[in-house]
Amino acid sequence: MNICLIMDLLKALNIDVDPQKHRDRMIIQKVGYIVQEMLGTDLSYSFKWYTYGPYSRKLSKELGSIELCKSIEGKGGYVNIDSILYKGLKQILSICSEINKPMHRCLEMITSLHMIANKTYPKSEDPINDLINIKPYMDKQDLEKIYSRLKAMKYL
Amino acid sequence: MGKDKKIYDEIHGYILLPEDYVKIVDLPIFQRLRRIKQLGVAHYVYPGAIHNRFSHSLGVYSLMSRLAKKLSGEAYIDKDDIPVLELAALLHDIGHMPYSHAVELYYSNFARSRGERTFTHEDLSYAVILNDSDLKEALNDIGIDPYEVAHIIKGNHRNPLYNQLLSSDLDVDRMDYLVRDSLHTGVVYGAIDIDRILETLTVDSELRLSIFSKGLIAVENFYISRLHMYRGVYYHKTSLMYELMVARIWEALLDENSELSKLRSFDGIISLIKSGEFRYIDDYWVHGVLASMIRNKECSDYLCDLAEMFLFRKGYKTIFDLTHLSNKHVSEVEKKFSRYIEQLVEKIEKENSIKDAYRFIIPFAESISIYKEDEAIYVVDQNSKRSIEIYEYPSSVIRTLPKYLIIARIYAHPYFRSTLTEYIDNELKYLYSDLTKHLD
Repeated sequence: MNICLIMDLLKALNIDVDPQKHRDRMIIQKVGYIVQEMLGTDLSYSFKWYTYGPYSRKLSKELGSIELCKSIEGKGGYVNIDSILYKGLKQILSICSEINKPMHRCLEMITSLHMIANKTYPKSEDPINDLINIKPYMDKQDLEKIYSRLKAMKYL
Repeated sequence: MGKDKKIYDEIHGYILLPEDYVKIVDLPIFQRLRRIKQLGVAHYVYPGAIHNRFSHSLGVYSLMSRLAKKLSGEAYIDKDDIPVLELAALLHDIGHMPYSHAVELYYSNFARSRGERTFTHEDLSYAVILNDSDLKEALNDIGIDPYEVAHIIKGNHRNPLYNQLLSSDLDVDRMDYLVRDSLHTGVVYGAIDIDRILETLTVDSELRLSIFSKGLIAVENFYISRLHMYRGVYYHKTSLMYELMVARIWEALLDENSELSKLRSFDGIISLIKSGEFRYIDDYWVHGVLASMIRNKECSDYLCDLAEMFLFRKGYKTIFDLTHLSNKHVSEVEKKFSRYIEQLVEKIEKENSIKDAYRFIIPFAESISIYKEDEAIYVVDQNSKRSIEIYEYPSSVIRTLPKYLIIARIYAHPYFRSTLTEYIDNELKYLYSDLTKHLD
């Protein structure tokens, strides 16, 4: 199950999540999106453009089986902290330290900006303003900061 | 209005199709939907369940049209976008394979173990819209961007509300099929109050699909009806068994009939869509291929046996059935169940000196979400104007529902049934109590 890779990555990054909580499920979904769509590791998830940005029904279903991932724990997991995947995720998540928002909201902004700029249709010519039109609760300054950081990292 | 058409539908009454849409409906690729039964093989249990994807597609179009016009009137939807939403609804099932979800099971589950890409009927609908030249041209002719229609079906339209209207926990697709399937099976517990739901659906301050609290009972009834339909129809033990059999038949058919090699992969199917051959791939076509292979002895013993059993309704028999409502997911149950199946197969092979014992049993284990927490509809409280997820809304019955319907079953080949039941009967009793230990 690919959900175990996501859980391992979160653990390696010291991010505690409880799948019973909506905000933590959002974190797991968004990290899954980053790993697959931004860092290029195929997890066989299909992400739809949903209420809080990218959302995979399959990933959501796998969350129910998360306890099976425990059998992997204690074996050192399979996250290599020298790997490109771990480093790439850490780099993207570092943006959140510059944004004064909870982790799930920050990840929602990062992944939504990426998805609206690259994956949705009709193509967005102005991702920041298009996103604010759809999600009026997002802060424009935050989005501009995230946009420039993602652009500098060549994800946009 | 000159060449508009009114089509009488058993659920929604007269459905008005504007002339431009009639041109789409008249295309061979759309007419194909008349020959794909909505419930695949459920007519083996409910003889009246022979309705098809054609009438369902018209029904979904009709509901989307009503809902889009209502939400447009409330300024949540741009009026100019109504046609693209209507056409996405009309075409949402255009890529369905024969026997609906039965063959889809092969592509969504089996294909991976065969090194092929897995895909769903939404992926195929997307592919049909962009690769069937007649359809693409017809959409362009009426000023509709085929890509926009296809992206709503795939759930990637820039406006997430459009994606939700067609695919979410409470969408126009489900609203139609629950009522239609209920009517044609005679399982009356599936009935829902569509008018009330449509009337009270709205969009909250965060632009999420929501329901005013005055529509709560209608939506609760929707969830409860769906649960009844899961148990009584969609996961009915006999109906499900024939679906699983069809998936196996499809697998064997593609292995044994080299002329069908293009149906093995997504790219192969796209080539059939492009060449126009896909329009002939329907339930009747599968029957014809199977009957011809049997008559001409062009199938292996395994496939001929499966095909005969399927065509003449002499399928596998249930030897183990665990159906349970639980707040816990099936993962631990699934793990134990699959371990048991592995041991069982090994035992059958050893004691009967046979290979491929998997051919004599069909195992199935799944936990079905009664409501999807991450897709659940919000309730807008008419006093406070706050919106709250339906499963957390104080007066909602959904709060008290368990999260999952858990099903674990073993079906046995009729020839092997008595032998199998005899020597594993005690084990099955133990398996039942062992599995239920993990459920609440």
